[in-house]
This record gives sequence, structure tokens and C-alpha cells, in this order.
Amino acid sequence: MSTQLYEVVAKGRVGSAATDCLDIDGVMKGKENVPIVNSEISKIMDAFGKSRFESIYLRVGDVEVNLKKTDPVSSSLADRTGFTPKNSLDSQHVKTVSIKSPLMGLIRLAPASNEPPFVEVGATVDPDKVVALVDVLGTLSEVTALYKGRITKILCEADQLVEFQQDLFEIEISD
Amino acid sequence: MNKISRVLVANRGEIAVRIIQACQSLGLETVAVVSNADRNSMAAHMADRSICIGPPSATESYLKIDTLVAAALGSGCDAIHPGYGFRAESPELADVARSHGVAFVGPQAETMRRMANKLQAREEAKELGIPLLPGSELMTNNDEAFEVANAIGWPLLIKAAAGGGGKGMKLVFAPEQLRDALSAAGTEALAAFGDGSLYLERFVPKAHHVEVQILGDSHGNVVHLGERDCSVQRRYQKLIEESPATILSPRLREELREAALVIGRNLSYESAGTVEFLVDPEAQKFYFLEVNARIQVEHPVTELVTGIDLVQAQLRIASGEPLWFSQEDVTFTGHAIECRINAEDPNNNFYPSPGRITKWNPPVGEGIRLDSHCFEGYVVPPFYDSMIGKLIVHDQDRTQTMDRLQRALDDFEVEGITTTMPFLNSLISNPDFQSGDISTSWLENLLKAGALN
Repeated sequence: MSTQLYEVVAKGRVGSAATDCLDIDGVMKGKENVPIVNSEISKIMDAFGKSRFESIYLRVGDVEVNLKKTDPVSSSLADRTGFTPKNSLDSQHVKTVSIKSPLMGLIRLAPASNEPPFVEVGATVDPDKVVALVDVLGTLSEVTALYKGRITKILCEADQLVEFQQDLFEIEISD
Repeated sequence: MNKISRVLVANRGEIAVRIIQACQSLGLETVAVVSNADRNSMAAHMADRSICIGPPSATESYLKIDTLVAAALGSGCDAIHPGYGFRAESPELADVARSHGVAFVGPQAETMRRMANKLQAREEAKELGIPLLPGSELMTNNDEAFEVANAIGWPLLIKAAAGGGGKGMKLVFAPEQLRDALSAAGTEALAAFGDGSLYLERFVPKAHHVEVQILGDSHGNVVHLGERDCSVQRRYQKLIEESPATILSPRLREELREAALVIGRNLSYESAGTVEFLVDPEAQKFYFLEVNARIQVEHPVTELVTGIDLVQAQLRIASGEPLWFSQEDVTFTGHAIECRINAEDPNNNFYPSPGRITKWNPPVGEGIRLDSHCFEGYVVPPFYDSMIGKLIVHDQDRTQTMDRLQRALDDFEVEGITTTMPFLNSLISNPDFQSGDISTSWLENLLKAGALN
């Protein structure tokens, strides 16, 4: 049997505890010295946001994540967790979707290390705008925005391994 | 050679689970690569980390060499275990991995290259004085084929030089079938291996398929771990395997094992490998077929009779460790039989039966081992081969092992998908199998005669 991978303490109303745990389990495959990256933390937040837990404490190696919902039924969850529900419509009917990685590889957010990034938060992009490159043993493939809109969040860390279909950017679609 | 601490498992299904277990026993960390269809697989949950590498199609995921090596580098792995199938015998994967400082858990790329070409393997065996079936060189034209075929004698087998898994293999009974069979085999081989090269080999109707497990290290030591009889085959795919082979006289057994060692030493073989032979039990003769430069599906029967964990051995050898036992230390206890359980419908031409497993209640008890990645609620995806597990049983002798296997199959409850378990049980209870009076054609003949319905 493997050693304990990570520590999770979750409290709150448990509707479907097994599913909630499984969601976090599916996100978190880091052992203590497998580094946890920002995109994984946002996935954990995502899972926590969707769960009916009220608080969660998570430790992976040096990284500790402490999340709490002060008002579990409030709609301002995003303020406290940094989590924005995807594909949700707010009052202005703005649709937020994510740009996913078409390949597994190292994500390059700039054309070269000494150059500015392809996009930054707030940038407006067209569907064919290159927003990142995926590097597979030196072979670079372009990631395009696929939507016309505004980049609202960068969900990945430069030069980290990203999975196939991992969320890379959040984009607010404009018609 | 570097010490290994984190292993990328470049496979799926039961063998991915098997590799993860072996790593855990040795205190090694694991990273499972999964296709989109395998995100919730047992391997993904068991591994310390899983990485989704692509869509379900194996050519876009498990077969992509650069992606596999990039996944290893990106997750800090220092070794890749390829399992069997997919890229298990790929010298390219071994080369790319090693050029990036990642160990390949398997033989040297050069060994895989030499043994991938079956004609070269035959040539090397011939030079070592190992008996071969009468056969041909590479076939270049049909006229030549007729001449050579008549010299070899009928019936004969057409085989693909780049072959494996029965693809490009055709049994030809008479000269008038040769032209069509050559053309069909060439097309099949070209499609499967990108190489349509063929050769001919005498067909022995009452032969047994007997293979010897070898294990070699990077210090020049090669040992054998006895043999397996894998004669129960359908379309050249093994269904039931056992160890030891009961048809061999003590002398023939010694010669066979020695021949495998000669071949292994000539290759300076590293890791686990199998030397395959055809045995004519009446004449008590054996003939070299090929070398499989990988861990094989049927390796557990050898593990049960020798007590040696072959996957752990592969990992230790890949980290540069010399073999920790000698040939004299290898002892054989009892008899083991494995049957491969597939999600297929034997009553409907063995069509795959993917879907959700609604009940999964495997047998437990002394001498019963199940290597499987399935569980209740698991959905057998339609994208890969249909094997859902291997039931391996060990007891004191062949008769007791067969009894134990039948009880285990009876006790195994699976619902939601159709499996080959009742079919396997009928094979094991067949009087021919019980007496050992079988051959590589036995099952095909039974199926043709409709004797199992």
C-alpha cells in the first residue's frame, strides 16, 4: 500500500460525501514531494466550491490550502475561494469558459523566456490568437483562444506540465 | 545505471496495476499516464500521480513516444515501465527515454531491434545451433515461394518478418492456396507493422507452444525460470497458460531450458524475456520460434511456481542491481494455470462486450490470484483490448490446480458485461485438456466442430 498522499480535513453538511471526496481525490494526485501547482489548487477550489463542505484543510508537502465558506448558501462564493463557476451566466449574461490544452506537455506562456507573454489577464483576444505553446520534447504546438473575448484568469503556471484538456485560461466570451 | 525512485507507468489495464503494485513493494513512487477514457481507472487512483496524456485512441495517447517521455520528465520520473503491448518492445521509446536520462525498464534497444525481425532472430538461433523448423528466407516473389514451399512441405505457415500477435500469419494446406494467402498475409502485415515482408515455416499439426522465461541483468548474468505451456490458442492468441509443461521428458526440458539460456547469453539479455519454442511431443523435439523482449501477459504462472516476482525483478535490474540469486537457487513448486478473462461473447463470435460492471465478486482463497484492474461500477471502455483480468491458480499438481481453477471460475460473479468465464470453464473441464492431449490447433478445431456449444 502506498503511504498517505496528502492530508484533507473537510467539515460541513455532507450531502454526497463520497462524491465530494472523490472529486478532490481525482484532482489531487500529488505525493508529498510531487510539487503541487497553481492549476491544481484551482481545481481543488473548483471541487470544493461545488461540494457541500463548509471548510477544507489540505496539505501537500510545503503547500497548505485552507478554504472556508462563511455562508454556504450565499452566491458570493467566488469572493472567498477565488473560484468562479464555469459556464455560468451572471446578470449581464456574460459567459465564461476555459481554454483547454490540446496536448499534454510543458506549457509555454511566452514565445521565449526573455519575451513578453502571449496574453495577460484583461487582454481581448480573437479565436485564432495564439495564447500559449505546448512543448513536447522540444516540438511546439500552438494553443489558440478558440473564442473571441477577454482573458479573465490564467489557470496554469509557465513551464509546468499540463495535462491533455487541462484548463489553461478563463475567458469571458463576447458576442 | 542510476538508482530508480519514481516510475512512469506507460500502460493501462491490469498490467498498469501490476507495475504499480511492484513499485510500491519496492518503495518506488509511481506516475500513471492515462488516456481521457482511463481518467478514473484503478491505475490512476493507485498511482501517486496520474497524468492525462491524450484522447482515448491509443495512437494519440499510449503509443506516443515523445508524449510518454515528456510526461516522465515533467513529473520527475527516472524510469519508464512499458508493460506489454503498446510500446513495450519499442527500441525508439528506449532510445528517446535513455537519451533524456530516463531508464527504460526492459531490454536494451539493440536487443529489441535484433529480435523484432523474426528472420534475423531465426538466423541468430541457427548460428547458435538451436533447432529450427524447416523454413525460408525472406520471400521476394511468388515463383520462388512455390519452389521453397514444396521443399518445406505442406501444410505450412506464412509468417510476417516483423510479426507478432498472429497478424500476417496464414496457414496454407495446399499449393493452390499459396498465392492468395501470400497476398492476404502481406497486406495484413503491412497494415499492422508497416512492413509486408513474409517468410514460410513448416506447420506442425500436433505441436505444443512452450516458452522459457529468462531473466538477465546488466552484469552478464542470465538465468531461466522454467517454462510455460501456452498451447490453448484462438487466432494465435493465448487463452490458457500453465507451468510447468507436462509434455516434456526430463531430458527435453533440460535441453529446452539450456537453449533459451544460450540465446539469452548471446544477446547479453537484460530484464525479463521469453524464448518461444514449438514442441513436437511425439518426436520429443523442439524448434525455436522467437524471442519476446518484454514482460508477458502470462508471467504470473512462473511467479507462482518459482516465488520470484518478475516485475520487481525488472525494476531492480533496470536500476543496475546484479541478479540476487543463481540458477541453482531457482526452485519449482507445484503447478500453476492462468486463464485470461475477456469481456467477450463466445456465443456471438467473441464480439467484445464493453460496458459497466454492475457486480464484481472475485473468488478468494489459498492459491488463487487475480490480476485485474476491474471493480464494481467500472466501465470497460470499448477502445482497448477486451481482457478484464487474469485468474491464476496454484496447487500441488496439475489435477489439483485444474480443480481449484474450476471452483474459482464458478465462484467468480461478474454482472453487467458478458465474459468468457463459462467458456474457459468448459475448456478446462474438456477431457482433452484434462489429460493434456492438446495442441496449438486444438481449440480452433473444437470451435470449428461446434463441440463447445
